[in-house]
Amino acid sequence: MGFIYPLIALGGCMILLIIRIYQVIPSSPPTKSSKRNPSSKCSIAIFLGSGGHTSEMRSLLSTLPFDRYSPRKYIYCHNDEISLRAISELESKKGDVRTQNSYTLLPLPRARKVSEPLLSTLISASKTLIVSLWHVSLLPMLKDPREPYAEVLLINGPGTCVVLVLVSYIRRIVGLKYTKIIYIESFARVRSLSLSGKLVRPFVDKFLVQWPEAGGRGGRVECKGWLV
Amino acid sequence: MSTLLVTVGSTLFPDLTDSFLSPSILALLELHRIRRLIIQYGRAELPLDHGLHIHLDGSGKGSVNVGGMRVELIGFTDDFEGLVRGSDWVVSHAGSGSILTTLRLNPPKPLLVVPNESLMDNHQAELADEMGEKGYLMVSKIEDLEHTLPKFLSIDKHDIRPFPQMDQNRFKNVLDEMMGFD
Repeated sequence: MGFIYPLIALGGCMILLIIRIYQVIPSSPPTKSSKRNPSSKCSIAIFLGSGGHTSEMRSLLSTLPFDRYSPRKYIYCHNDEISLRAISELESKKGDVRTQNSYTLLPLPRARKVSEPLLSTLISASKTLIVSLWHVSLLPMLKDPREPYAEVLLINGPGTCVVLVLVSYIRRIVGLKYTKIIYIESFARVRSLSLSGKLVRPFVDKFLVQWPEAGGRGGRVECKGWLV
Repeated sequence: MSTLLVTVGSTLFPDLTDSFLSPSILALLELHRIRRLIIQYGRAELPLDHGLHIHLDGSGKGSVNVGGMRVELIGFTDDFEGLVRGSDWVVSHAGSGSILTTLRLNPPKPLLVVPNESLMDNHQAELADEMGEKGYLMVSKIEDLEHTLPKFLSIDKHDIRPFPQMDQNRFKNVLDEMMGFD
């Protein structure tokens, strides 16, 4: 009967973890951010999900003041040439060439290829999880425990961005200053959410859709019209 | 010289690209004074060329004259916007990138969208229908092309409803407010 005590302990931990996650899930309506000096800087991480995801993200980024949102950390999937080209075009057009290190690149193993079967999806997703756990959570923690990887993270799908949300949640759970997350659903989603949208919706600080009916009647979904 | 572009972006949509090489559609295009037909066929394994004997070179390009019309095939392009700019009419799959690029040109190009119904999660058709209802573009099924193309090619270009340009402040304002910058 000795095995029952570790099980009870484990179960207890799980319950505490669930309660804690419930506590840190963003409230609705979102709490107001404290005011910042307009000339201060805000570090930003951007996930480029390839194909249409990258082209929409690139349009969104093209509207941001790069001197304010700096440094920029681009996260993309291995071998995604199109995203790399998008980054270099954006940075050469909008970035400040005089300051070094105004942006960095983080390549991740892809969590799921199109039509990949479940088992191999699990394996490749855990690779993505380990790499992003190290770079997005543990490494910044070792460098300076007070500062998260970035102050804000921009995501718009597909699957790999779910892993980034998961990893970013560690700091929330332990109560450290954390990365705020904003999800922007695709312009192509008129009456329904994408799978990654559905998965991350309860956990992100802001969830934007571009068509009024795309998000259902969920309280936390915001529609400001077309963004790209 | 009137140019019609058929584009499937980076997808695989042989039903669309093949049907534009069928004798009936080619005859229909000639009748409507199309002198150049460009088919950007993406990842499709062309040609199902209905006996046209189009020879594709190493980069996947090829061309053939059909009556008074030049038919050009290309797999991919680095300059999609340029390709659209050089065309008078655009027939596209329902990808949001192709739709936005075509409609945001000044003046916008007449656009006929053919959703790929073999896609499992066909949210793209929803986008096409919604944009069609708002009058920015026309929508057709593959099997209706012989009926919709004549209507499409008779559109008065001045009657196209212009699609609004991107609002440069909308997303910036949302992010600024979220991060405490307003």
